[in-house]
Amino acid sequence: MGSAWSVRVAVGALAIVAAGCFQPVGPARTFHDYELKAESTAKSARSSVETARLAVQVATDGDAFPPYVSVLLAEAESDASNSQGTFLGIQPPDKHSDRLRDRLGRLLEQTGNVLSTLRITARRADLQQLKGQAARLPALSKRLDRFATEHE
Amino acid sequence: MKRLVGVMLGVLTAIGGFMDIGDIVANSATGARFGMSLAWAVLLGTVGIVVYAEMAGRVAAVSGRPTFDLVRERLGARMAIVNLAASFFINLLTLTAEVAGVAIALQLATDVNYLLWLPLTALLVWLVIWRVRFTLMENVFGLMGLAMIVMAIAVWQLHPDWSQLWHGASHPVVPSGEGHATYFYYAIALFGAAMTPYEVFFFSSGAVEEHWTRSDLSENRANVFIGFPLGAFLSLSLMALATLVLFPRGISVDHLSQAALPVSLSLGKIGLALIIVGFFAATFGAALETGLSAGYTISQYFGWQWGKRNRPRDASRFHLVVLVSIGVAMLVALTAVDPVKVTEYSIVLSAAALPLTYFPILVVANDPDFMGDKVNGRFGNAIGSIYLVILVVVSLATIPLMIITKAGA
Repeated sequence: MGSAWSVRVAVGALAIVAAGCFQPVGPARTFHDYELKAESTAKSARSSVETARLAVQVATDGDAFPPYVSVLLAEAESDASNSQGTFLGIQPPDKHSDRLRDRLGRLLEQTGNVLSTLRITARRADLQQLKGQAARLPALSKRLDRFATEHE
Repeated sequence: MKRLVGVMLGVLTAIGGFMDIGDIVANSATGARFGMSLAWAVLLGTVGIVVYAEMAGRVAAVSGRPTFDLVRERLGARMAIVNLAASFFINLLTLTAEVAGVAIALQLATDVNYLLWLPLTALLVWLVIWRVRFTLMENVFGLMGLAMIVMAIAVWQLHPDWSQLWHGASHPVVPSGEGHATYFYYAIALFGAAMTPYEVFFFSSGAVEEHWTRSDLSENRANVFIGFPLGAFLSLSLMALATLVLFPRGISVDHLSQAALPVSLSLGKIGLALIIVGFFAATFGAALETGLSAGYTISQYFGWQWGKRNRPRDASRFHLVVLVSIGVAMLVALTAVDPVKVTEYSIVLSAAALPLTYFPILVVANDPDFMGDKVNGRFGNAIGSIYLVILVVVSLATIPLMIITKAGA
C-alpha cells in the first residue's frame, strides 16, 4: 500500500515537472494569439541580428578570435532559422493573420539570408569581409523592432 | 606563515570555484532580460549558501562526518531515500550541464562542435578524479577560475554610469513587457544557482577527504565568509556586463558564447581568452565536484567505503558510481539536448529540492551529541531558520511558476 502510494506520488511529481519543462508551441486560435506569437518571433529574430552585429563589430575591430566569431554567427543563424521554422509552422487563423505571416515571413527570410552569408564568411576566417556583408543588419534590426512594437 | 598561505589559497579557490555553468547562464540571462533588477536574488542566495556551507563545513570538521551520512541518520532510511533520489537526479542533471559547458568552452576556442568534444571531456573529468590528488585538483581549477575576474575589469573598462547600475540594483522593478511570474521565476533560478545542493555535498565531503578537524574551523570560515561573497561579486559583474551590453540591444542569452561577448567588446582578445579559460575552469571544476558528489551521496547513504583518497580497489562502488554518472551525463549531452536549457532546469529543480538538503544540516548543527560546544549560536540559528522558511517558500513556488511561465519563455 505504502510503496504503491509512493510510486503514484513519484510518477505524479515527474509528470508535473515534465509539464513545466516542455514548452510546446500551441496553435493560434485567434488573430490576437497569432499576433503574440509573431511579436515574440520578431523579438527573438532581433536578438539574433543584434548578436550578429556585435559579433561583426568585435571581429572587424580585431577584438575576437575567428573561431569564437564563427561560433557566435553560426548560433545566431541557427536561432533565427529555428524561430522562422516555428512561426511559419503555426496555422494562421484568418486572412488578417495571413498578411501578418507574409510580412514577418519576408523579414525572417532576409534575416536568415544575411546571417547565412556572415556565417559562411566567418567559417573561412575572412573577418574583414564581414563588415560589408553586415551592412543590412542595422536596418533589419530596426524593422524587426518596429514590427514587435506594433504588435505588442 | 604556512597556515596563512593555506587560508589564502583556500579563499582564492573558493572565489574561483564559486561559479559554475548555472551561475554563468543565470546571471547573464537575467542581466540581459531584467537588467540589475534581480541582483537582490544573487545576494539572497549568497547569504544562504554562506550560512549553510559554514554549518556543513563545521559539522564535517567537528564530527568527521559529511552531510549525507548524517541525513540518513537524522531523517531515517525512508525519508533519506526520497532525499537521495531527488538530490542524485538533480546532481546528474547539473553534471550533464557542466560536462556540456566544458565542451562548449572548448568549442568557443576551436570552433569544433561541442558534441565532438564531449567524449574527450568526460574522459578527462574521470581521469582527473581518478588520478589527481584532491587538494591539487581543487586548487588548480579554483585558481584557474580566478581568470573570471576579467569580468569585473570589463565592467570597469566599459565606463558605466555607476549610479544608474546601483539604482537598477537597489530599486528593483519588473521591466515593461515582462510579467511578475517570469520575474520571480528568474529570481528563483538565480537563488537556486547560488544555493545548488552539490556545493554543500562537495564542501562537507571534501572537508572529510582533507581530514579537517576543529583546528581547521578558521579556514572554513575564511573560505565561506570571504571567498563566497567575492565569488558572488563575479556573478554580479557578469550580470552587470549583460545589463550594459546585451539588455539595451534586446539580446536574449541562449548560448554560453553570448555571455562572453561583453568581455570581448570591452577588453578585446586578451579579455576573451581569459573569459574562455575562466568558463573552462569553472565548468571543469564543477564537473569534478558534481561527479564526485554523485559518488558521495550514494555511497554515504548506503554506508559504502567512499572518498577520492581511497583507491578504486578499496572503494570500488564509490568509483563505479562516479564513472557511471559521468558516462550517463556524457550520453545525455550527446543527444544534442540544449545545454543551456539543461542548466536552467537543473538550477530551477535544485531550488525545488533545497529544503531536503538544508533542513538536516540545520538539525545536525544544533545537535550537541555531534557538535559538542560547536553547536549553532543564536544568531546562526535565527538566520538558518529564516532561510529555511525562504527555502520552503521557494520550493513550493518553483514548479507552479515553471508551468505558468512555460519555464521562463
